Amino acid sequence: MFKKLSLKGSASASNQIKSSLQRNIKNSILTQYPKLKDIEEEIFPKKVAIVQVKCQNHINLILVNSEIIFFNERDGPYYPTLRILHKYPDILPHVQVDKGAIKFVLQGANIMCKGLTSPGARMDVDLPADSIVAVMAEGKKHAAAIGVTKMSTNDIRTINSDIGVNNIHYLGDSLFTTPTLSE
Amino acid sequence: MEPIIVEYCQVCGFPREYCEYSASAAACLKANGPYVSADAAATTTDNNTTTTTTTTTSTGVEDKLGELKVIDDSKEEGHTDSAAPVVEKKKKKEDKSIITIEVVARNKKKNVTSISGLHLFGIKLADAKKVMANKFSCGCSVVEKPGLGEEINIQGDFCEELVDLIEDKYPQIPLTSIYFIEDKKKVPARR
Repeated sequence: MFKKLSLKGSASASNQIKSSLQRNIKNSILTQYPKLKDIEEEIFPKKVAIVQVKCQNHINLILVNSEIIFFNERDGPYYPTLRILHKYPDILPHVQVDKGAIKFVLQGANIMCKGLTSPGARMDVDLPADSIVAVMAEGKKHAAAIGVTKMSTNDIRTINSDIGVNNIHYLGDSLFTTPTLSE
Repeated sequence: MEPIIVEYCQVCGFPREYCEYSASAAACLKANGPYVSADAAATTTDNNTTTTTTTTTSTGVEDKLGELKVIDDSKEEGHTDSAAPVVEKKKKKEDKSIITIEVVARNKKKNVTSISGLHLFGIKLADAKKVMANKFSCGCSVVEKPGLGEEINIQGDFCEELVDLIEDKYPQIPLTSIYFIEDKKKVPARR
């Protein structure tokens, strides 16, 4: 999603949004990621207003302290950025790809089923289709990408061809290289 | 839930363990030294069986890093070699006359294509203006730019079509001396 998007200058409108909307955003993020409830204060400090920046292709970025922490597309689900995921890796279910796939994942490629079923890869949790996952890598501690499963983990195992996880946000894309947006 | 503080590389911005996959792997290695994950360091102090496995993997990684470094060095050399003549070429061309085409966004949907340098090739701007207005069927005007001489402004975004038109109508202009200005950088229109 962010391969070609240049964040600088593309932000068409960044508003201090209404506090009711802020609450809405916060609530929808918290319901989506129930594990964040314990650390709500850390991620959304009460005194600091949430800023929403609208970018090209209907992408919205959620900023706190001018740090990008979440983003979504149109009215879709909110995704955490990789930096948040690195801090709190448990907020998303993990899938692991094998070593050979890392290179391609970091270039923004979608994750093929073969890369999720080979010996180096792991899928510990059973997931339905269209769930947001953290893409870990064999031999690495931190996530390499954030993706959305295109089919359920069972299907990935049985069909074992074609794209299994759509790559949404990966190390080295333009969202990762611009951690903060100053207004 | 405690936040994990991830060590990011100063050079490439990736977490340290991903440095080997970044474009600047060699530079990262130079700046940081080989990456040893905390797990590997911890397990080496544990019992013997695990140490053997971890050490083998870590050496494997180091070997790979070495390979990467070698490859990257060669690439860099290649780049410098190819970069040098390009710079020379550009310098030569700047002595000669060039044509620059720039698209300026007037508001969200509307653009103005401004083309400067035509007079350097002995083209009458008034004539060229007529030709372009005819070809693109749009407003077109000769504008005096202080310090830069005269240029032609065309309503709309025609930078690609303009190159074709110049190629057709004015064969005396070499295509290599036509440049686009994109993000304030000169980009050759045709390669």
